[in-house]
Amino acid sequence: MGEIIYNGFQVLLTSLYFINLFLFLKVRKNKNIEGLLQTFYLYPLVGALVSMLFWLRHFDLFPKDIFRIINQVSVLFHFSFLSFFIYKKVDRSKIYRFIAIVFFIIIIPFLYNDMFKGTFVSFAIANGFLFILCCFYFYNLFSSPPVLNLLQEPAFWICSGILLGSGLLIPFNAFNRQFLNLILNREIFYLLGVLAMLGYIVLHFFLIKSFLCTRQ
Amino acid sequence: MYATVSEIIIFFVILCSVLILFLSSFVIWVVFKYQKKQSAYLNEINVLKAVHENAILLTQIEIQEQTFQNISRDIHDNIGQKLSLAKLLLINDQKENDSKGNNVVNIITESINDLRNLSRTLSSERVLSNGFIEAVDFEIEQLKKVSSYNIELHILGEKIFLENGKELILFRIIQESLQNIIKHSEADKIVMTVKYSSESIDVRICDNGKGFNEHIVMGQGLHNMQARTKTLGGEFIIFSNERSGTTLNLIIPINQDASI
Repeated sequence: MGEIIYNGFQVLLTSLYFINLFLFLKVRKNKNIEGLLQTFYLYPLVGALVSMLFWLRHFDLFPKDIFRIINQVSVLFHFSFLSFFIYKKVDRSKIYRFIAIVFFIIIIPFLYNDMFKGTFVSFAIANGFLFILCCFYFYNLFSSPPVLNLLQEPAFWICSGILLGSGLLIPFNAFNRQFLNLILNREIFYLLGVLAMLGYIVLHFFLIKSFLCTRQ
Repeated sequence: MYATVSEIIIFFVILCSVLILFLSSFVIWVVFKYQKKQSAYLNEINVLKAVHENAILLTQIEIQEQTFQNISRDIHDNIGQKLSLAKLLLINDQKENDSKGNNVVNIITESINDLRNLSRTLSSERVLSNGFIEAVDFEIEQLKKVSSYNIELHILGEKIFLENGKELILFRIIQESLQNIIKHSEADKIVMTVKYSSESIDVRICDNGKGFNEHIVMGQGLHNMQARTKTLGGEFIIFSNERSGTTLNLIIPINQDASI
């Protein structure tokens, strides 16, 4: 039962990667859209590629070890890309610069090291950083003149998606190893997988909304 | 103590729901708070814009008044004096029964009178020293002299003097309105009513001219009058229909502190 739900969510996530890839490719050549959004198609592109490899591996058509490495690199890309996006969106005074430097110098190598060890604590820390960067984005919204039409602002929806997605992922990343050690049950394994995917699914629904804003 | 599978599932589902609820509420709160701040900000901008526009308009009125004063002084001191001198020289050199010379003297006399009237119309001295009612009265008398208009002026209530600047602006609006009637309306009767109350001065100018469609024709002159009324914090209302005359209604609030 758990595996069926897990695979169902994986299909949904794969579909969302492709939908977002298709949508953001449409804004790629739109000169009226800011440069950062013109390159945003790279994010769902990496997701779609990894998702395709996941299914190939699922049907034993792709080597597991290579997939594992690709998946880990894609996770690094996920954190780097999104944090760079928010970093570019906030007022870059010294404090934000400091946070960005901390993130890139300490977190990324730590994350990379952690992934090979099979724990998820660094994922939680990285998601925590994304969460804090989103909070800075919202703080920045209120500290500058309120001239944006917030509901039609793509960056707002992207940051909201990251906030919700990373907020959901932090506790699961932080505690899933402990829970898996607490009870060795495949259903729990799938449940944790589904809940982790939920964060990404929420994020990708918000990305669709942000794309719809670019058409205004 | 080990947790059961169902307990862990329930724990995660509750945790997940609480997180989604909390974070969604936060995003909704951000949207509402931002829109509230934006609304306040836009109101502030609009107020600043209105103040700025008012300041520009007042400066324009000031410049225009200064130009009127300069022209008025030039007419009175320069052209008027020269014409008076020319008239004197002509009278001195005039032979008896010189009808041509008499005609020239009469034309010069008329020109001097016209220029004097023009100078008085442009000058703000009369408004500033006697108030806008006296100035309007004078203006009406001048119009009666040079044209066949039947003009009535009714004053209701106890006179209240506004600040000098305000009286002058109000006078200029009425003056422009009278000029518009003469130029465009083809009217032969004008009725002006000035009604004083404790809160406002209500000026109503009616003519029996050809009228116009106020939704279509709104020229620069009317826009200027409207803008001037706005600087006084008043209301500018115009009723007109083709072939049924025009009524202009100005309601100017009285600032109690400024009244004498």
